[in-house]
Amino acid sequence: MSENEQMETRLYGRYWDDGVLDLISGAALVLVGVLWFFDMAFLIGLMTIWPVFWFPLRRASAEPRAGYVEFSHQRKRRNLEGIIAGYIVFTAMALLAVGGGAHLYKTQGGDFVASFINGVPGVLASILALFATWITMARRFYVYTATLVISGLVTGLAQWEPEVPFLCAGVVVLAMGAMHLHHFIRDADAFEQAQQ
Amino acid sequence: MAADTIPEIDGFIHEAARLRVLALLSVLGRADFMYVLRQSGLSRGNLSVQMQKLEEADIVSVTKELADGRPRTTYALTTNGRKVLRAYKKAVSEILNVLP
Repeated sequence: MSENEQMETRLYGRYWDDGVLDLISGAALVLVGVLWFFDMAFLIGLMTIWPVFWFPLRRASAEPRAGYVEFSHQRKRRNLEGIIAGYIVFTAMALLAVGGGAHLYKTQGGDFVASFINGVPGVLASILALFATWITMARRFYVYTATLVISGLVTGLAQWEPEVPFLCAGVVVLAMGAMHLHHFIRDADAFEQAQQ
Repeated sequence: MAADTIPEIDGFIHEAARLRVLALLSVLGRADFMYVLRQSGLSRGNLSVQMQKLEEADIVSVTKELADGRPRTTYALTTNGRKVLRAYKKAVSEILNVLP
């Protein structure tokens, strides 16, 4: 990586330090968990449009303090490719899970499938978290991915309800987002005071 | 080394504050005043002066627009600005390469 790319990568990494994306993602995970809890899982598909809420929220909360920036065309292209790849891989894995689950139900029986199926949605959601890590380059998203995978696996093994991984990860992501936003606002205020 | 073999450094670009701003803008698409202020570490007054000089020298372009009903002013390197920076980098590299 050239010096030029290193500097751009550092600036791009800092762009996500405000925690707004974490708050949006955490809220989405909690909402998925709540919808699942109230047997309204059919509405979860709407979560795919959830990221659009990030733009106005960041514009209102972080942008007045951090300023507005547009990154290079290469960066925008990389991000778009990441989003598209994320949705494609997620959809493919979801279809594979449904198809595989149906096949196992026929061949191994319902009890076998029931012994792990409740953890599958949480593990599947970790695919989106992994792509979010790749796009944002923020290491804390690895923690979110791991939280979804681990809570999904534990949910499957313990035969808890499918909403558990979403609620667990959602709370973790919301807490981390709130902490980052707090630090971001504190640093921005300190910067403003230093400028005066 | 004879005097005419030493590359001439562009003094306008070589100024520390301007160089910081230009290095920043060279890796970005465009950015507003607040972003450049936060990332460059310059004071508001100094940055304001430098941006005006860079705009007058056709190294940085200024775009004024409305975003959600609020005015937004963004800065970007011009084509001339990129050309000037490449020439500056070449000249400085040549000089640094002969240093012991």
